[in-house]
Amino acid sequence: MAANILSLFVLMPLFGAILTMGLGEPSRFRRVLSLLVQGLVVALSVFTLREVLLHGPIVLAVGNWILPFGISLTADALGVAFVATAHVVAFGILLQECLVRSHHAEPRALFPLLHFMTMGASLAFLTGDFFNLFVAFEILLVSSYALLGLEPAGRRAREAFPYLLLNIFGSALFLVAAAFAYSTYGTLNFVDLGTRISLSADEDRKRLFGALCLTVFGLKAGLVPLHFWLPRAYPILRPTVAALFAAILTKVGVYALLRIGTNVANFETLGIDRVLVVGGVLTLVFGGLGALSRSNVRGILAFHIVAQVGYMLLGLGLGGPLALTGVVLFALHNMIVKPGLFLVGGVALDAQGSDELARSGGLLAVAPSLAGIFLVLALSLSGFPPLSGFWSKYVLLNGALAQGTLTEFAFLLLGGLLTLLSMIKIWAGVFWPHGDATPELRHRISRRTLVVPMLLAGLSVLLGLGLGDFVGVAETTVDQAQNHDELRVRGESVGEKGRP
Amino acid sequence: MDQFESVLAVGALFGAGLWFLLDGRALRAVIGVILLSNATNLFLLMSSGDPSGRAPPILGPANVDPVDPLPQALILTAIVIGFGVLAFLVVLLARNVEDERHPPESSHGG
Repeated sequence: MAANILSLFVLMPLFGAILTMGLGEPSRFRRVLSLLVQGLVVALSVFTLREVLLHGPIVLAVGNWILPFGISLTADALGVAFVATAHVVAFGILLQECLVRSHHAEPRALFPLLHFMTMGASLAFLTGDFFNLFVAFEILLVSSYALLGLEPAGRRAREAFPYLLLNIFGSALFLVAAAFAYSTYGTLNFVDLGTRISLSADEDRKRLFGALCLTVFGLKAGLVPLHFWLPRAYPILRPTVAALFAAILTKVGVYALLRIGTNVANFETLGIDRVLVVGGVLTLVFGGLGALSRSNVRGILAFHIVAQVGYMLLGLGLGGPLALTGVVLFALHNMIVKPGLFLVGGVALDAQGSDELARSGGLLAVAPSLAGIFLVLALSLSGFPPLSGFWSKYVLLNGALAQGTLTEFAFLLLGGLLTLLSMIKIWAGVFWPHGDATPELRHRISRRTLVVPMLLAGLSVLLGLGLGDFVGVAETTVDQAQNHDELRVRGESVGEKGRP
Repeated sequence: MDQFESVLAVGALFGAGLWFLLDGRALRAVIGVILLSNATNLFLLMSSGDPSGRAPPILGPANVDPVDPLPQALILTAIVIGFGVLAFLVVLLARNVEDERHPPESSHGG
């Protein structure tokens, strides 16, 4: 199959952004165009995922430059599984934005920015080049800054500045890491860099590079104590945008840690995997407790993202194929369920005019179907069988057992308990009746706003029941990422390049 | 090999940038961002090695080893991105001031 197909993952969202920007009026036209483009990207990514699972990774040397000197797009199962999930969820989110015709008309820049964000995500998941990864992160981040700036509250210095400044600092560190990699190892290609790092005898420099990567991507992922930008930024976003942030932003950080930490600078051999374990446990507990301390739905869900990232980082720190499979399952499952919860929260927020728990309640009586969807998603997040969350937790726990680490096992269970508690808090606050009064809604909950959350919940159920061999796919992703001979052969055929 | 002056410059710029970034006042943070992006660009430039005794990448004489040109391409990208982010930050600040003078209606209760 022509490897050029990979460039479409970047080009199509780009066209989507340009078209919705240029041919944006009237808004109905913009919406149709946006959904059409995103639908094509979804079809493309599902097709590519199937192809990669059956026939192995695809490598595109952009502009036909000889690797490792040129930039490569490498689609192995790991990258494409993330790309496919991100685009499917992004399609759902765009659809939701069209279906919720609330009384705030959407800002004109919304759809182009959403497309730019999925473009950055595509590039981040597919690139095989360290500097290109930086560019992808910047595309993502700049669109997220602009999306934040669309909200009046997002322009206030108190909420926006911690997010902006911390990420700008993170980008500066990212560049430092790239410059360090290039001046020490003379290459930026992931495969080549990995080979050179493993051949190099200078332990200190290796460890420094690993630590830089850990800091940069830990910051993007929301590793405690680098998490504090996250819970402040989400609650001011419109629910659809918060859902997209939840699907993409932190997961890109986790993906980069997964990619760099296993292929390029193996955290385990560098001896810095304990940092991830301890950081993961802290993130898990702190995020879980933080979520319980919040008093509005978006605040709880946002802080809870931190807790979930803790699971993934802990799994990364444990290492071993089983725990890594668990991390992949966890990330993919979260990319589906978390946005679903944000969308449910958005529908409730829209109907009640507020998502403060104290000012809502009793939605169970008025909107039983919304409550049902929330219940499925919340149970999936807490890891009840047969939902997708169960498998991710099951495999991750097994990974912890396989490493014989009972303390980490206990913390993983504690994390599950905290998740369940924060979901109960939302359930009790929003859906359970407070006294006898039937809640007053600003307007009826329209049935079509439930379509997308229902689809996401359904996806979680189906994946849990074994649709498309969810667990098997995750195993393949880890397997391909760890032993990607196809990628390696092309990287080594060029031969050793001396430092200039 | 010795790039001691560059190391000092990068260190000073990084330190000053961080100092301003942590100051808490918005305008100073912008200055911090400018210094920080210049520090990283200079650090990127250093990754092409010591330029003394080497020719410029494209136009130099044929018999002299040229300096590694790739970091310069990387810097170009970094400058463009850094400038874009800086521009956005300044516009955000301007909007911020405007919003404070004429407060917008608060949207969806969040």
